[in-house]
Amino acid sequence: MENCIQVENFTKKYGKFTAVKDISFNVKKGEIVGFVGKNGAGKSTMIRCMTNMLFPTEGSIKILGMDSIKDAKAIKSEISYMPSETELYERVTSKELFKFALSFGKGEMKQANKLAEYFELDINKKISELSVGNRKKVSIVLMFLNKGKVLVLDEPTSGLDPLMQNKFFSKIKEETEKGVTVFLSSHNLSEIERNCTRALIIKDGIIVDDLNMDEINVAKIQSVTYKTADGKAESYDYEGNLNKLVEKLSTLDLNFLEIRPKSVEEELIRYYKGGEVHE
Amino acid sequence: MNKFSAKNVIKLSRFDLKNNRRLIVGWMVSVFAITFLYMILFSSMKEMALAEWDSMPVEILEFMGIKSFSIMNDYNGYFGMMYNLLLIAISIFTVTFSAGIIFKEEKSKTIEFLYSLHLSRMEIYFSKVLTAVVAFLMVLLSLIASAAICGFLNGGDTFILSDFFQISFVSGFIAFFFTGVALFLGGITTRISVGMVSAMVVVASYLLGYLGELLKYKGNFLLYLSPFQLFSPTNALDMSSETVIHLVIYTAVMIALVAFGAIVYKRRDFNI
Repeated sequence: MENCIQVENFTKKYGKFTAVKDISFNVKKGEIVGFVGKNGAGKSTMIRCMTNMLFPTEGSIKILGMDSIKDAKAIKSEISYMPSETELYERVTSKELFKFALSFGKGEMKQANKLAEYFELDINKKISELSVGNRKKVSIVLMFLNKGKVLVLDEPTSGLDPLMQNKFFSKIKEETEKGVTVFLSSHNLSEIERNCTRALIIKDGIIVDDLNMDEINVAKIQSVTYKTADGKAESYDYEGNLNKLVEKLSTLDLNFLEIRPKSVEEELIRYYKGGEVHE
Repeated sequence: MNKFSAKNVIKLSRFDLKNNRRLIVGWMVSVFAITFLYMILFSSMKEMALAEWDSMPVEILEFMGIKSFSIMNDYNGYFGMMYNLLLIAISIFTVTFSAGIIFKEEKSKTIEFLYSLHLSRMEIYFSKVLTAVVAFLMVLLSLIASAAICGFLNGGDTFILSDFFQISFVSGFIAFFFTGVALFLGGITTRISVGMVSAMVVVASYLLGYLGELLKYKGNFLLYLSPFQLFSPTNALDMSSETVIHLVIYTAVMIALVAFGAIVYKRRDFNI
């Protein structure tokens, strides 16, 4: 399957500070890839370099075979980008903003009206009159209007209520069924678990893991929690032979014991916390 | 697909002008009103000023651009004196506006929306150039219209239209030049308050020119750093070959600054 996004040896430095260090990954057509990491890990920097808001210090980024710097304008007609912060022009209405955006693109106002209705957005209100959540909806509609083959989304559901989050991902699924590729960053780990086919974990500017969601669901890691009669309590992750684990635990005078497979969300949290896995 | 589109530049500029119409119209009305207030009083100001200024130090009069009292007898001369001062205000408007329209996009992060559209950085930059030039011309024309109306009303024989327009547009180049400076500064960085820096450049330029006048031969070189001196209403009216050369040089410098600003804008990180 062709690579829609190719990142090779990408590094971004701000003076002496290295925000992203020598990362490489590919995203294939039709994938929904979640980009996960703590605040300040380098997610937005990576995404902004993909969209030529920022320039890589080293390395290259290609989207649909086009270079993110040399072909920046051409890429724009093939991708839809949604920034994390919904800063828009305050004095215009959503309708005026959609018309303005459509004047540079390929969609029609009919489509904008349909999307606005789907996301329950009043397009005749000025942006200044909209709540944070409604401004996010404007941003979402603008993103879908561009009809990109690749969707690059930076925290797309922050500020949305759960119903709108569901609607958003239903729309995303519709697009992926047409062959659209999605690359999104999010702090919502259950959202990543439910909707993504793959998760790239970034920590301190480095990709620490590339998780296939289907493989994670095969429970390799067990979450172990126990309490002993003399009051000792412990909780840890275990990966290895279950018989050995049971043999070890049977030497303890246990009051409470729980062994269960870890969920994807818990697995991803481990990277946030920097936790260790026992073997 | 990467081709520069003038149509996109015009569309962007129209959107920008629409978003900033209150500010531009506000300045147009203010400049029109202030100019009208000063110029309609030409006849009465003439007598009052001659009485007051007799006792004023020469240096203060020179700071105000007044080299001789004979200007008070002549509508165009009087206009030139007022124009000299009003151009400082218009220059400050045009630099803060021009730098501001680039700076604001990044500071408020609307550039993330704008740049997500099918646009290149050059199209965005030159749309700002077009917006700045149109806004500047609207404010300048508002001043010229106001002064022209007053000229017809009370200028009498001393209001010579061709001289009036010559002063208006040649000296008006001063503010136009500073527009280019502000666009250059906005293009190269938005990590500092470029509007304030540009305004300081305007004020410094005026003061350097004044200093050059005061110091006479010792400080003559300072005059070349001040468009306020080189393109003063007096020089604009004379239109000597020296003034024409200065005009050509300053135009070339302005174009070079805007071009350099464009090149840097194309290659720098947005400050978001």
